[in-house]
This record gives sequence, structure tokens and C-alpha cells, in this order.
Amino acid sequence: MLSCGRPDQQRQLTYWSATNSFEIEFARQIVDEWNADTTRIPVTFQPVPAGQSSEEVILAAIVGKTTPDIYSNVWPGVIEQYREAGAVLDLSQFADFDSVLTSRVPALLQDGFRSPAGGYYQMPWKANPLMLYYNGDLLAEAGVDELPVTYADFLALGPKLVKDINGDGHFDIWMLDPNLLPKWYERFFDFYTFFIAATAGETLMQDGVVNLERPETHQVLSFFRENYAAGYFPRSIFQEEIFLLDKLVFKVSGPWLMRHLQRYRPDKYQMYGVTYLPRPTASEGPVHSYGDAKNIVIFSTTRYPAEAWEFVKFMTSKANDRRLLEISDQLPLRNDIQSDPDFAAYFAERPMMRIFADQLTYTAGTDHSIYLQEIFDIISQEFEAASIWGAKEVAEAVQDMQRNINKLVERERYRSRSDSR
Amino acid sequence: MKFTTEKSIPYILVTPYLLHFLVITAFPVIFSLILTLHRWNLLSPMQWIGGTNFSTVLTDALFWKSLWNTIRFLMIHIPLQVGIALVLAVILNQQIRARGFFRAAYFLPVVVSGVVVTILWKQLYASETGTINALLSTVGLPRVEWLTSTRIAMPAIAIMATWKNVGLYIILLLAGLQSIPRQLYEAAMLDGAGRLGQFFQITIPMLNPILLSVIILSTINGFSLFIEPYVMTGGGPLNSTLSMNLYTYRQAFVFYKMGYAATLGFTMAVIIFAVVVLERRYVERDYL
Repeated sequence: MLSCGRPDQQRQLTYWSATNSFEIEFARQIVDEWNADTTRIPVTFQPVPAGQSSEEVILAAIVGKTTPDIYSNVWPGVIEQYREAGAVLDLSQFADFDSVLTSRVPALLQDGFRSPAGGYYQMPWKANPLMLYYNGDLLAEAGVDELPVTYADFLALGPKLVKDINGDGHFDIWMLDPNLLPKWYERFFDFYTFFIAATAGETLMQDGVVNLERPETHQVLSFFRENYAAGYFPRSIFQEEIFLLDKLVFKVSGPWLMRHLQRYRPDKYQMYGVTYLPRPTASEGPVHSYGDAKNIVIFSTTRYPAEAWEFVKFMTSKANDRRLLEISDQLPLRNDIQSDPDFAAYFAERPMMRIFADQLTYTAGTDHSIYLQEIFDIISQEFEAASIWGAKEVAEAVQDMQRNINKLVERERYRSRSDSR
Repeated sequence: MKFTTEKSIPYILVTPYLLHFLVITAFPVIFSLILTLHRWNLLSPMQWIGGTNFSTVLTDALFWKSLWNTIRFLMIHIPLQVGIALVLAVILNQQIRARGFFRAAYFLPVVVSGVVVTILWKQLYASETGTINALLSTVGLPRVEWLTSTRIAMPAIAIMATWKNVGLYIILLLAGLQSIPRQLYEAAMLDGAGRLGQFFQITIPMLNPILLSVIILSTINGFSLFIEPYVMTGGGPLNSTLSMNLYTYRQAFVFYKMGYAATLGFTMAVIIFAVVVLERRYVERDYL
């Protein structure tokens, strides 16, 4: 009698969310709403039990076969590893997957989430397009009234914007501060974002092969190199967020930075703005950027795939997409949210987010490769040598990048062939 | 009960330790050894590749760079640490005021979390906003790129590691100093030996076994350099602070090459063993 209303108290889905407070709140709300309907399979939720890297925790869970049924913070760059290990379900097995995908996700972005092996092993969920924030006060002080469109524009602004305030012979205000640490994932927020803008949305791979020996790679590396050499970008590791301290004119970041600006600089929030990334030359067409998507997977350990898929659909419904946007300022990968009347109130209240929403359509994600981390580690090594420290010529760095990536892929292919014999 | 005869009691008593040894020590070592002969990314089944991981180590330029970086670190860290620990231990062995306070103060960094200490020093070392550079500029000295210069970053890390660990070695050396019989010093004084003479003719030879332990412990701890470069520099700039441990960690937990990481671990163990044997021979030849 006590269990009346629930079809079966033993049946249950486990859902892990990201660990940030906004997504925890979102997860809590949707799970409460889902569970309020007693005819549905109950869902229990918890933030992914991660210390530093959720990927490590998920990997350990896959190895130990302790994965949840559903996980909503998957970086698309690791999906191929999970797929190869048979850890995630192909969602296109569900009869209505195609209609759900095409009705929700912008057409230009759908293919980017398809596995090279065929099928979709992730439900595209949300993205945080990277754009160029600027400090309007610093621009106004320097008499700059036009935002940079090209690399030449950007470099030309350097002498006007960088400043040595205390007269010690070193700049105290800089143009941009790419992270100096040589960690592979940092390159998504500098090299890769600018690369996507320079190539009008192309990623590293064409037809499954990394191609970096192209003019855009040289242009991006040279752009950073010139800025570092001129001192416009600091060769320093900062503990604090110097953009908030008015020591930085521009910052490449996603919508999440808005909340920080609002919280920590409420007095000056209005003077911050967002614009598109500069490109090597002025060209027609939209400016592209890196989308930094996070998606949803159903792990193959689930005993209730159909029910898990129902929960994923519920999670990505229009109402919950709006809820996600309102709670976290993260953009759901949903068609035309800028013009959808259901989202109008939100964008009226947060006009800066409309710019991010416009950018969303023109984003690229990551390539599908099980060697992506190592490819980006190679890029990071060469970026550091050529662009940050000027220890290597750009042409040599591009050659080394390409050669080392080719060697990596060749070595792994050879090993895979040997293993399969 | 026959089971609890006198003969079986020792086996029963040793079983908990034996189990602990098998599970915590023997199994991981044997499993790692097996891993060195395999390719394994945690997700797919292990694949036998024979000695490929070992031949890869030999041609891996970054591994050799990380080894050289670690040796550079040790060359600064060990003399600095042992020297400072010895001087401070001798001072703290005297009847000075607030001796207890100083002994506790020097030991305090040892018990503070390594990550916390590293984050604090990262702030001290920051080029633009760091405390050390601010102090240098107030006395008219030029700014130092502590963590962003390929020449200075590793010495900067060695200084920080010395500050963090020196307290432990002070305590060890203090224990050694206190075990030296006072009569030896009294006899030396009667023979007309000065303070320096006493130090080099009595203190150092008598401290030799402890000094050897301190050097060996410093070497082993130095080879395990990880938190400092991981938090402060990420191994940069230009891999100049990439330690062997950090490199092994990257292979294991960034690229998930468990077999190769295990091979690096074993290679490191062999190198540490060789260095410690050399140290023992050198120190024992001179003093024992």
C-alpha cells in the first residue's frame, strides 16, 4: 500500500550533473518535477563526484562499471573514447531520436555531434560560445571607439591600450591574457578559438585527417607571437582574475563570465561588452568561434534505456531549456531561441546573452578522435614555443605540429593494426 | 582446538601484515610490472606489446628532458636542504632563547598541505603582482620572472620545496646531534680544538649515518617532485619544470597510457635505486 502510485519501487534511474551550483540547482528542479509524476520511473540525482576533473571520475566509473544511467556534462571530445569502449548508448537507436534532434538542434550544428562510426552517442545539450569581452571604460579612456575586426586592427590598438601605470618599465594593463600554463585544454580558449574564427568554422580535421599546414595556422600563431613580443599579452601567471581588476582590455570567454562581472563588478557591469573575435583579414560572412558544448549521454550500464531516453527528452524540452538558460546563463542548443517568444523575456533582461545566442549558430566543436588530448598537447607545445616565448619560428612550429601529429596517428594506427592481427 | 596450537599462533599473528603487504604493496608492484608489457587505456582490454614501452622510453625526448629537469632540481635542492637543515639544527641545539618556538616554527610547513603551500608560493612568485617582486622593487632591484623563465623556474621551485621540507630534516639532524656524547666535545676542548674544529672533527663524522639518511630521503623525495610544478607551472615554461613524476602522471591520467606510465615508473625506480647506491658509496667511502 505504501508504494501505491509508483509502478515499481525497485526501478530507478541515476543522473549525475555538473558540480557548479547553477547546474546543481537546475538538476534538482527538473528531477523534482520529473519525480512529482508518480507514473514515471524515479530519478535520483547527484553532482558528479569529481575533485578536479570529471573526466577522470567518469573514466574510473566506466572501468568499475559504476556509471550512472545519465550524465549531463560530457565534453564531446571524449565521446569517441567512450564509444570505442562500448560505454555509451547510440541514441539514434531510439525511434524518435531523429525528430527530437532535428526539431531542437540547429541544422548547421547537428553533424558536428555525429560519430564518424555513424550514430549519435550524445544528445547535444548546451554550449558556451567563446567571444571577446571588452572593458568599455579602458577603451574610452584610450579614445578607442571602434572594436578590432582584424588582427591588424587589434595590433594597432596595442600602443593605445597597454599602459605602464607605476612607471617601473613594465606594462600593468594588457590587451588579452591567454593562459600561460602548457596544459592541452587551455589551447581551446586561445589557439583553437582563433583558428576556428580564421578558418570560418573549420576544425583541425578534414576527412578524418588533421591538416594544420595551412595559412590560417600560421596567421593565428603569428598573431599571438606578435602580441607577446610587443608585450600586449603578459608573460605572467596570475592568481587573480585581472579582467575584473581593470588590468585587461579584452578577454576571451563564454557567457559564464557575465555572472562573475555582475557579481564582482556590479558598479561597472554596464561598461563591459561582448564582440566577435578578430580574424586575419576582413572577410564577408559570419565570424565563427569555438562552441564549448557539453552534452548528455546514456551509459550502456543502464537497465532502463527507454526510460533514460524519456528523461533525456524531458531534460531537453523547451521548458527545461528555458529553465537552464535562466538559472545558469548557458545556451541550450536549440533552434532560434533569439526569436522564440518563449525566450524573449530572458533576452530582454540580458541583452548581452543575445549576442552569444547569435554566435551560437556559428560555432564549431571538437573533432572526433580518440587522440584529441594528445593532438592538443602537441599543439600546446608548439604554441608555447612559437607564440608565447618566440623560441621557434612559426613556420617550423607548424611543420613540427603537423609532423608530430602525423607520427602520433601513424603510430597508434600501426599499433591498432598489430593488435588486431 | 588443534588449529590454535602453539605452532599456528605465529602464522595467525603475521596474517594481517601479510594480507596488507600482499594487497597494498605486492599486488600493485606486480600488476604494474605486467602493465609495462601491455598497452592499456583503462577502457579497452589490455594488449600485449612486449618490450615496446621500454624501447619507447629510450627514444622519448620528453622523458629525458624530464629526467634532466629532475636532476637539476636535485642538484639545487639537496645541498640547499641538507646545508640549511644542518646549520639550523646546530643552532637549535644550542641553549638559545625561544628554542621550542623555533623548532615548532621550522616544522610547521612540513605539516601544511603541499597544495596550499604551493598556491601561496605561486602568489609570492607572481611576476606582476607577487610579494617578492614587490619587495625587490622597493629596494630598487629588478623584477625576477620566477616562474616564467626557463632558467629560474626550477631553482624557484627548489627554493620553495626546501622551505616546505627543511623542518623534517632539522628534526632528524637534531636527534642525531643530541645523541653525540658531550664528553667528546669536552675532551676536544681540553685538547685545544676550536668550535670549527669540533664541528668538522666530531659533529660531522658522528652525524654521518643521519646525514646519509637525510641525503637519501631528500633524494627519494626530490625524485617524487610533482605538486610544485603541477600547480605552479604545469611543467612550463618550455617544459623546463617538467619533472619525471609529472610526466608520468600526464601519460597515465591525461593520455591514459597506463602501460607506458608504468614503464616510466619502473624506469624511475631503477634510476632512484642507482642514485641512492651511488650516494651511499660516496658518503660511506669518505666517512665510514
